[in-house]
Amino acid sequence: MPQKITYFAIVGGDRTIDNPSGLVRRLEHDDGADDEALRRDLSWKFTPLIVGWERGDLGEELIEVSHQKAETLIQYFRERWA
Amino acid sequence: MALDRPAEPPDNPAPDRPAATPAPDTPSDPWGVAHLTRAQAFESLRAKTAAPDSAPPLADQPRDYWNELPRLREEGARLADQWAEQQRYESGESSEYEVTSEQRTEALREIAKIADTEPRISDAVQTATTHSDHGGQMFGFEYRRKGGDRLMEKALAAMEAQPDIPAADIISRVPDAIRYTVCFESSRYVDGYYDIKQRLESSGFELYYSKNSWTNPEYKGINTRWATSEGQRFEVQFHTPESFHAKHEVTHHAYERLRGPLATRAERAELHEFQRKVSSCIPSPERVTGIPDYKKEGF
Repeated sequence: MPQKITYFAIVGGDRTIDNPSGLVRRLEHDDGADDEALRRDLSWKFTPLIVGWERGDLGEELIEVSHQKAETLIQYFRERWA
Repeated sequence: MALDRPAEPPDNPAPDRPAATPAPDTPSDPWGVAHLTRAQAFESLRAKTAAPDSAPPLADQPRDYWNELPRLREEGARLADQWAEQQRYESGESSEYEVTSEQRTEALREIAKIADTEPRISDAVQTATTHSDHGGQMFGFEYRRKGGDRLMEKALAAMEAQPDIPAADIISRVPDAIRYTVCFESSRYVDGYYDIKQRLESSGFELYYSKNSWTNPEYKGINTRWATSEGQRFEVQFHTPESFHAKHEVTHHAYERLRGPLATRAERAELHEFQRKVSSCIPSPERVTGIPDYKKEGF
């Protein structure tokens, strides 16, 4: 079990955290972190986007959102990507 | 994983290197490195920065980057050996992105368009750097266009995480499909940054993003993003010789490994620690934290 999970909304162009283009998260474990992106089938998979963003290497912006907001966004994507 | 640059500096100048290679110590080549290979240029810059008449190190700099370099290289090599071992055990894992064939085709079409716009941008950035009053020098010009495979890999990762965004939009947002690096000595870095910024704006380019990472513990530099009047985006990174060398020669493989799917959590922690260790040896330019971040709405 991760000790901490941080969610980020992917925001590029005219998108906002209320209608982002994607959702990524960092899971922090005792021995290190895993970064994952939400996919169209609503499963989570490794992503390099957070590491790239930290280095100024991502075209989109990542904005941290609360767990509650993340749940709302997952529902948003469930409807949008269905 | 495909890299967008060779593992080692080229032995000979690349054929697409800038045509102008003035003699050492001319105004357009203030550090006398334009005629050298990258490896030779770094050694030359190291010698110049270590010379007695160089500016004294800043008081808040704990270690000298060039003196620490052998130790950092040794640690980087040790980690690379470790990664190679682990890759053999994990070779069954897939790094395929789940993207439709239509999206891939569209992405390839957009990537092909980028080459047409690059020469005019390159001319303008070279002119701005050459005319800079603060001794700016372009590094890594031969890598100004990101390799197609590397660009595609980066786009696929973004497309997978944003499945309803058109591939053309994803490609257009990749910040470094066309990218340049301008280096200034620490003491002239801030003035040089503003000078180049003003010159590029005068050339008709629009700055839409600037990220000052000099307080970032794992990466040092300022990455700026620009758009031409036709909408082609490109990146200009501002570095010192030390920060460019660290990024390009010391931490590059660690960063690529972090971006890949194969590293274990323990290894990722070690790679982040390595990047922090290297970055802690890079002297910060005077007054650099005063350069603000910027983001234009809608980009």
